Amino acid sequence: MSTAITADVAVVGAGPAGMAAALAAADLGCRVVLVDAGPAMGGQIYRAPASGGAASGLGAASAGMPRRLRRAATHPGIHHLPGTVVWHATVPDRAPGTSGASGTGGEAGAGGEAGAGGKAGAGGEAEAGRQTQAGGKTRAGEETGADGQTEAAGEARTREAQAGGETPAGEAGFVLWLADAAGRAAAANAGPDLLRACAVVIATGASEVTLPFPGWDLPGVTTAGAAQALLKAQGVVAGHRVLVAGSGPLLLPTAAALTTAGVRVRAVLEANPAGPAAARAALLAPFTEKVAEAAGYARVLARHRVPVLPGRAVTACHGDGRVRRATISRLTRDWRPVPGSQREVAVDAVHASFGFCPALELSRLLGCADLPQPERPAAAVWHDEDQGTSVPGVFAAGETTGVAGAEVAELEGYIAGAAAARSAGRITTGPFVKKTARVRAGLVRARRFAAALDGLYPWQAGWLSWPEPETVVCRCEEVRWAAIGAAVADGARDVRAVRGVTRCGMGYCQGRVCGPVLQQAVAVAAGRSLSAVGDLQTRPLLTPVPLGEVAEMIGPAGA
Amino acid sequence: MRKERVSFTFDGVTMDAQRGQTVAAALLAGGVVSWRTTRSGGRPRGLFCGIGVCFDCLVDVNDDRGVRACLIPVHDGDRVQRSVSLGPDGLTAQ
Repeated sequence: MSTAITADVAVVGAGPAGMAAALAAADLGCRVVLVDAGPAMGGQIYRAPASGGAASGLGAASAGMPRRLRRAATHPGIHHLPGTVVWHATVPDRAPGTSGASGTGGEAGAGGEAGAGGKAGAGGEAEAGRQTQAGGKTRAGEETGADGQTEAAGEARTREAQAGGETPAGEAGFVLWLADAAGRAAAANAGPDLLRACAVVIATGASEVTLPFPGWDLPGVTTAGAAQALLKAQGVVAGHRVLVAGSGPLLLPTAAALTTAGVRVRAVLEANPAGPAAARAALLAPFTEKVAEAAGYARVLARHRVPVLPGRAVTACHGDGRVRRATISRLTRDWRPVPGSQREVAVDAVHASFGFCPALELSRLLGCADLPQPERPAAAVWHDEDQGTSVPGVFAAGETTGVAGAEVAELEGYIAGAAAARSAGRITTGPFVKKTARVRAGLVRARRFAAALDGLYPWQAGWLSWPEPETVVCRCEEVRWAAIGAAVADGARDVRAVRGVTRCGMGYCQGRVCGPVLQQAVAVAAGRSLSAVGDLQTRPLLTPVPLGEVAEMIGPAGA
Repeated sequence: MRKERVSFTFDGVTMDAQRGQTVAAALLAGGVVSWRTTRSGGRPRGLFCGIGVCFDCLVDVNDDRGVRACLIPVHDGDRVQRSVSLGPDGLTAQ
């Protein structure tokens, strides 16, 4: 059984980018459906406490969320689907013989202003259905079984017609397949399992990168994001005597929050060196509000005598059944441990984070082109100045377009939402330009800050010397570090080949944790660039869904 | 007015949690750091990414096998058990 919901604009992800996109589109008269895995809006950064959040759409104290974003929770044009993930998505088939995923470049106008006066939704959809049944014209259709997909879509159309809901301005040709946050088709919680939309905004954020070292899989070793999420949403800490380690701007706020919560943070270890303080200050000085924020965290840590140590890392954890001790190493500029610099400290938790990787699953499934990031694993979503991706009708905002923080994300979100509204036929170009002008000015400045900050936290390859041959790299399949080098030595030249030989990245998480690690390891071992060896982010199913749930949802094929 | 605490069992032992907390948070608050062992190495695992990405925190709750403890709220009367399954709704290892 399928239940479908239709929107002018579907926004995937309810962090700052997604909330801003939803607000911009809804303010322009669009009917917006905002899909998010979390129980409340805010994303990872404005995470809400577990109790009391769900009822209002916002957390009771989703700390720090700007008032302008809070409006999203009560906006009549925004329908929020909490606890919901997109597990599959298809693009409109606009012309016979054209691959929807990649061949619609010349039809940008059809999905935009012209879409409002174009062919009726029902006719267009029926045509798409025939194509899929006949030959599986969309790449995605081929991968999931075209018959069942068509069947489900047909049933959904019937229901929509019966419901007689508001008709979107354009053709709702994008189909997003929904499941609950646990991966069960939405029938289990009475929510819709299909979302059809004229335009899509991808605001799925980024995932945290953690680098492997001996003992990183011991209980008590978590990501810094996990420590933040536990504390902010659950009011719980994973340990009482901890180290916060890694690289990037997440370390200080994490350590400050834990310290304020009564955790004894033994040290904050930033892998990159402090660098010349004057150069650093000159770079960031124009951004006084950001400097003040960082100074606030530093003051909390100083007051509690928490040392912040640059050029150091946790390079091993020890313990039987859980982490008890951690080895701290001094690092060279390229993150190699300095021989003889090791010392051990007693801990009951280690929170590590080495930055973030854009989440590309949805953009790639929809056929959006990548923007390579030569210095970082994976890639970002390529976009134009209106946040439009290479696929007409699909927009991207926030960390998926390159990790740059909440402010850039929010500003990109406003532009993406307005552009999606234009694509859905709710606004014309003149008002669009006017509407987004002020946001663009702010975005230029915010991006400049993000770039300056990013430059302070380069990713260095010296971590490759942290794991031992027996260190587990792929936590799911328990693939050892030695196996990666052996596979490359045997002739595997890219991450897919290494995955095939070793099973690294083939487990529960599908390479979400080890993917960036594997990418750099293979690149260095094979003497190739990061982009040349590829990554593990392309997935026909965006999130694991039990096959039984899918079968139940789409019914017997051909029935 | 709903009560603020809920009661559940972990491997038969009664524990309590704040209403709305995830299974992972409830276990950690109760001093449990590990609730799964890996199927090949038998290594202990608990919370790692905390946001549903890594699947390290799989746990069995009532009749559901291999659910992510960091995402699933704990309910009054839940039976939580160390996961012996191979994955979400997957085959049982024993």
